[in-house]
Amino acid sequence: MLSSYRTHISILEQIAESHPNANAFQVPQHDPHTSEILRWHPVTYSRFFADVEHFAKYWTQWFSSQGIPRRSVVGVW
Amino acid sequence: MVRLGGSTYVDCVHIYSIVRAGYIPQFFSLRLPEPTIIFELLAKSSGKALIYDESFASSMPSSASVPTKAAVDIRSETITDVSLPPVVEPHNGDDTLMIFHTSGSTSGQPKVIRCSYSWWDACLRKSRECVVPKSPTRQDVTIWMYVLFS
Repeated sequence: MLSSYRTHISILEQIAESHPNANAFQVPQHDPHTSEILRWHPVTYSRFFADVEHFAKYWTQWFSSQGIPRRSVVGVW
Repeated sequence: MVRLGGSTYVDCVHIYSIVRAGYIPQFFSLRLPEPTIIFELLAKSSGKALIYDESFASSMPSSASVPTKAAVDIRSETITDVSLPPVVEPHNGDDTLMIFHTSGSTSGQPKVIRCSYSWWDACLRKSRECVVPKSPTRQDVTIWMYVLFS
């Protein structure tokens, strides 16, 4: 049987399906003047995966407009 | 540079989304002071574009060797008629998933490190051993991102 290699994407998809309402992150909201943390906003695994898919469509749209095919290397800085 | 207000979650989403879209991200350290070395390293990997943090906008050249775009929060932006490839767990572990760099502290020049699917899979399997929750009935909390001050 051929081995298959997991990625952080395939694992996230699986967790978003099996534990959609479990929290993946607690994101801080800061006071813009004092940097004090005002509150924490939970982000579930299903929300996180949905955001990843949404952003992926955004980048797909922009890469396509620039004539950059899939499997191309793109810098992230 | 102070990064505030939940921007680090958006950074995380951007990072994941490049792979989800079927592209190979080449990550550059925030410690690199200006984009000249960035574009040199990108050329070594035949990189086709550069996505950058908004805070670096003033450092970007007016005409770059590849298309560039700031990574902004697009959660409220409507996107239609765009399809994504299926999420796969490939059989060829030698293909490149992501690209990292050494610090360059020894030779003075960062070196390209190609992270293969098999190497990343091994990292995920090893890290899983380190993050087993102390209690099976509750999630452990770890700091995943940090705020960078200068």
